[in-house]
Amino acid sequence: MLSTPLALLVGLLLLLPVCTFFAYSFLTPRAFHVSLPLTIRNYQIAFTEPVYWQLLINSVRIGLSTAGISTILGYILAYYISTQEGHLRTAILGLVVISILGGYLVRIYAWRIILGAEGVLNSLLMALRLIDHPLGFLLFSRAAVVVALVNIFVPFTALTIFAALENIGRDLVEAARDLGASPMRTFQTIILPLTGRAVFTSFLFVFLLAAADYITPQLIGGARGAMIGVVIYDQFIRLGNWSLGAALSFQIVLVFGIVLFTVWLLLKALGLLKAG
Amino acid sequence: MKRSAILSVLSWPLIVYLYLPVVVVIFFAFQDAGRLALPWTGPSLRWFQYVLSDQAFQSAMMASLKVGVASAFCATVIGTLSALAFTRYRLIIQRPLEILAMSPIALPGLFVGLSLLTYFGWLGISLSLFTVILAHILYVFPYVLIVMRSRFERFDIAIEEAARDLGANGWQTFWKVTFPLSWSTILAGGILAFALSFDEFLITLFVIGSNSTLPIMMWSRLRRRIDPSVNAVATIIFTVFVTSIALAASLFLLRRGPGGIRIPFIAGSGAQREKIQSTIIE
Amino acid sequence: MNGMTQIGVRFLTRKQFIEKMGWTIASLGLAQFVSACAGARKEGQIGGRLDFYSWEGYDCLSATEQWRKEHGVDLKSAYIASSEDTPAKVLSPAGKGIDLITYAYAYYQAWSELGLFTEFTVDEVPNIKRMFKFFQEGEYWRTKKGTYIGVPLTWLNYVCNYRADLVEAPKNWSDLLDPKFKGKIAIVEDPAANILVASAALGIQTDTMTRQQLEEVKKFLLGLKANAKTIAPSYGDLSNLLISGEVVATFVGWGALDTWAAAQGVNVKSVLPQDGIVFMVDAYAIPPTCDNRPTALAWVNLMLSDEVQLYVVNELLTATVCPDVVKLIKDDNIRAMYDYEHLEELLRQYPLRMFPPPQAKGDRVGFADWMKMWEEVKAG
Repeated sequence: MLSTPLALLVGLLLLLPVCTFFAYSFLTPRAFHVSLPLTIRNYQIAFTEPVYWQLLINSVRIGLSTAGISTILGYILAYYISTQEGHLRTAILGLVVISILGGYLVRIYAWRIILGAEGVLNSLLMALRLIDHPLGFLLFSRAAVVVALVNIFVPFTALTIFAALENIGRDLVEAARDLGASPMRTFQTIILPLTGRAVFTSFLFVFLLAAADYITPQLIGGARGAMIGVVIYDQFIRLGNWSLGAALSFQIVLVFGIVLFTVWLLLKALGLLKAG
Repeated sequence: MKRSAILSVLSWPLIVYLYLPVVVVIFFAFQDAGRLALPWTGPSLRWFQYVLSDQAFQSAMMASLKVGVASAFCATVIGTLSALAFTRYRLIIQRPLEILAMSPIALPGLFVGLSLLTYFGWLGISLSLFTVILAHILYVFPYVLIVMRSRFERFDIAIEEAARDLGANGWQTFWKVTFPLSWSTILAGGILAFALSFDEFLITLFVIGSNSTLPIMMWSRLRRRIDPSVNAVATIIFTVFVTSIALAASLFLLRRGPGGIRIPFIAGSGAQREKIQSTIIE
Repeated sequence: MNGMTQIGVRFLTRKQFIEKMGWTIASLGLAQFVSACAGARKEGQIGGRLDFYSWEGYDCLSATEQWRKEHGVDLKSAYIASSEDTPAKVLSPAGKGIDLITYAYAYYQAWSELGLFTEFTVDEVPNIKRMFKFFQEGEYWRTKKGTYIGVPLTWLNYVCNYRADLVEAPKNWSDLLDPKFKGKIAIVEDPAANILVASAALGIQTDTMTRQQLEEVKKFLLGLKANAKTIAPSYGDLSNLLISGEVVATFVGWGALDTWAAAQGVNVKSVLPQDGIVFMVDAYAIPPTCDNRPTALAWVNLMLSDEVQLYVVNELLTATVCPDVVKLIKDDNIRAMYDYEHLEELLRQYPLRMFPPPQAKGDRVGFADWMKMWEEVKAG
């Protein structure tokens, strides 16, 4: 059967590993591996230690900011592209797609060069005599993390929302206009709800990836930008406590799930999630 | 239109912002001095020379290429077969299978990487480029599936049905009809997969053991003293990435058009062949 | 029939005999070739495969290339990401065949108990006699019987690196808590080092640390964090921060940063704050999983040779353990990185600090508690 290879791929490389990972959270940690007996102590630690909750909350904050800003900016960009025609439209679309191609790691550490004390931005501001000492708060902060992550995710949200905008028939918009609706009203009652699912999908995607990021905080997060992903990374790579790391991972799955569900309910209540 | 003007005023700075990191990195790759700060004392190729002659870079590059080609090939084969299955048949298992297959796009690299790490640990498979290839197949597969699905959805099934009527079995239909007409997309999917694998970092970090692919090498460089050599490596990765995507895109757009397609040979009467011909060159 | 006739009866035709001999010789040759490839060697002879499992760089590749070629040694290195990797791997089934490991002195008790060391004598590693007396006699390497479980490869101090053109050298680590350093220091992601130094600054014994004392150390670190711009993921990154001027002082630091900064034309110096002088000594050891002992011993001996020690000094930028090597160091800046003149004095005055046992016992905290406290400091 044609689907067999895929079934194998998904089963052996996705489902089984996740099950193993889940199982590890119930085992006893040894240095860089696990053993019996089964225990729920890892979850006890994960759920009762205040430090992990602090980091989780910080991660959720950064995740929500990043997702929110990326979605809004992506929407603006998507809407702009949809109002353009012909060559200009293709050109801008192309520009957005190509901007993804810088890769991930590079685009994070590039902000050190841009926002640093000796960085491009500070040098520019000083050359223009707008400041006489470099601004120290630009880098190594929560804001820097959000700026860097938004930069990575906007192309994705823009393209996702653009695809949804394109699916809205021109005639629908025309009809609304003919009936006398103002552009704002058209947007609110027709366009926004019909793109609601794309908006939520983008938000979900960005939130998950941003809140679980473990590289950005290490490079530009500074003393206050600590995130839960780094702790999990530490547990596996440096501290060798795999069970706790696994328990923390599933704890964040739960918490992120709750957050996203809340967002979904909110969007639904605002009437933004009509069928596309 | 006024609205368009507002959107334009908001959008163009946004686009500049999107390009800022990449431009800055490439700019400083040509820096002459050792500092990643202004003034720019360039242009200079010294960091490229340094990087290209560095053995660590060369072996990381080879590793990235090996992993990229291997995972792209496997993902494309599985992706093509799966896309065919999804667009030609209706099985109940398809929907859940498809959702699962697409999920790696939205799952954080941390989660996927660690699941695989514990999995390989449990199975006793030691971490190496092989485990990286497996991880990358999982990671790039959704993208290949999207590409192949969109192609096969637009593919006129009538041709395949005609071939079946003429007595070809499933395999022959694929090789003699479907493949020649969609090879460019299959190749495009493969190249896209390669490009994505080339740049993958978050999952790779956990399953690579003591080897290095190019992004991993960059990460260990970044944790030491940063000098423009990192930028040079990044620029090289970027160039490979962009070239691949451009290639993939042009292949994808190279779809059937009048006069450019060879009609595959299938035994059968002239009338039937005419039917196929007319369907293809629509 | 006598033996000769029996052989005669079995004696094949001359042609077949030669053929047979030919095959035998060929297969013997093949066996030699294969075993040479596989690294087999006679007992007591140096050569063959050597498995190294430790920090990248400690295998001193370029300095040992010649020696390895001459003796037919095939070095296979795998690198650790943290100290805990070593016991994890060596004690697991995957550790079979590991010939060489290194350990920080502070782990010697814990790792002895885990059974990670084998003993050897001065006769087997004669270069031991070339080292500073302290390294020859320290209990972390020499057993009460006079045999050795480890041989120091190199040492370093945890210094405070600072921008000499922007600030004055801090006299004590606690100076860094001063408000004038707000937002201007960086802490390095090396919890073991940070806690050792903080304990020293607070006058707390590390191997018998109580919960109360751990809280004091935590407060100290939190105070530093309040002044910190960021927690750098590595020492290398510290140098980037100093070079760009984002920070002007570090907790803790390393002599190598001065050299790196100088290469970029930036004036960074290091100082040993008086309230917390902490040494780190890394030593080679031969675990029981070793299957090529003669070569492993020869390798350890080689590590104390001039050439390898100079490599350690010039390339790894840590200190040499042999007094004779000090005068061979050509670069003045590199020689000035470590205080060799007063080394023995300092070592006697500031005894090496030990890590606590892995898990807590009663009121005494364990190493795991140190790590947890560090996570809390980072999150707080």
